[in-house]
Amino acid sequence: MAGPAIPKDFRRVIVAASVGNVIEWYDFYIFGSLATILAVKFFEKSHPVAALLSTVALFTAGFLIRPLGAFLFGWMGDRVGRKYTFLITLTGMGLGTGCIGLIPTFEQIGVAAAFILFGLRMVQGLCLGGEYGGAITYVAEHVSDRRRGYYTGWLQTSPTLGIVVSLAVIIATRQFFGNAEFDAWAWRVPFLVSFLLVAIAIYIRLQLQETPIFEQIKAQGQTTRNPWKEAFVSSNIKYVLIACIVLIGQGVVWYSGQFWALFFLQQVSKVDTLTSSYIVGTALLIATPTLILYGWLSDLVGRKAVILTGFFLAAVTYYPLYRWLGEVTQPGNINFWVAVGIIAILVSYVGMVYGPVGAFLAEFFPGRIRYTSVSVPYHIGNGWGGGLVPFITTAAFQSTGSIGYALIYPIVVPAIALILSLFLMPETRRISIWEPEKNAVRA
Amino acid sequence: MSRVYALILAVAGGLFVYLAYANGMPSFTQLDWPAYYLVVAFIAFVNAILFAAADFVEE
Repeated sequence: MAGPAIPKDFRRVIVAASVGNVIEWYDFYIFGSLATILAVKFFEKSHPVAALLSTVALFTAGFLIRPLGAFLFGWMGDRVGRKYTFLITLTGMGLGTGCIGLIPTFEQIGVAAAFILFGLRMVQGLCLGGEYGGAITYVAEHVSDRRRGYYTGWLQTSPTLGIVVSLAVIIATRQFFGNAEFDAWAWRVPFLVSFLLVAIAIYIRLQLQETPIFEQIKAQGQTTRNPWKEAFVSSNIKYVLIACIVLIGQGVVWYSGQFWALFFLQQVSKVDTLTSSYIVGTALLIATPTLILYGWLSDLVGRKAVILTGFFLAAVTYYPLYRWLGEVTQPGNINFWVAVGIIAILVSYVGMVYGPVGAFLAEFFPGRIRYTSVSVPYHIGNGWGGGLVPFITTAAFQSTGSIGYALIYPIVVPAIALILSLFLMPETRRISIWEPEKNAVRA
Repeated sequence: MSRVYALILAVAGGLFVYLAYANGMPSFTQLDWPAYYLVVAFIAFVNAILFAAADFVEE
């Protein structure tokens, strides 16, 4: 029987998957970008339950719930199909985000406002947990083995672009309505925009077909009966754990290079919100193509070499780079372009570790359980390992006032991931997902 | 193409080494601008090696 064939319209597939993914990340980060306003609108600090909820909801819950979403939607993706599953996650994410723009505030309905916000944030985290694994599996199962790093690199730009879009929408809304109006009610607009964006993304994704590889698995009756058992209660657990190590290192580099750079400017250097958003937004736009560049390079030199070099450079150079960033962003004396250049270097590390990782994950796990096996390590690593970066680094800085102490977590985690990955991470560049029978063992 | 990127990165690294020495001798005990330039040069050289490696990895 002939194997599945690469569809001619695979570029359209990449664009459609990426657009949906950008919107999904926009939804997730708009919450973080407006966290200070949400805290004022939805939580009463003198109310102990609401205060506890605000801490959990605003800093960690959205990240911590992501692996649960990966479990749930991973099961569905491997049983029902990739396309329908990531349509559900996209719809849930859009509704969850849009509804935040509609809920009454603490002043209007009391502590119920905090509970509703918390619930919607959980919906966001759950849906995001199911989205990425679906998108990366979907794209990886449409492109050739030889150029998978390059093509999945395009999809990997989507979280970074999601941050850029969220910053751009907030800046535009704030400037259009003015600060007073924005703080009063127009903060709802970026959330409501999500209804429109997600409707567009759903329309685009509805035009897509199921992946040829999943269609073949289904036609041959090889669909897994229980993805959880096959992925986590079998020898595959070893590969899941190796992927978790790589992804935790990757997640820490990702958040240290992008999110903590923004936090650093605002909390350490005391740069105002607008200027810091411009600096980070410009650096992100300049350095985002490195995700594609390093994805492409990983097709030539291998996923492992590129990802591990990213870990190495992050561990070795974060301290001097952040010290330098602090020097050029002194209050009243900001060297805009040097600051942009430094953050662009930090984002290029994100390109090194994140550009090739989608291809690595897709090649590392068999098609029968790919959605589940890709999603769970990704969201444990990126959601837990990476998602805690802003919280841990900010807490360390607030308690010690030292950049050195604040950077311990962002430096030590990639260093440990580098050492462990050096011995445990296999090179997957030559693994074919189109002709799996030709592959040797995975590790 | 990877060879071109490697060359560009190596030249950029060399430029930052020049900038470091043009701004005074870098100190190993404290971080200042020449030291920062050397850090950027180091990053560029590591990347140049990575891109150049594409020529030596078998297909």
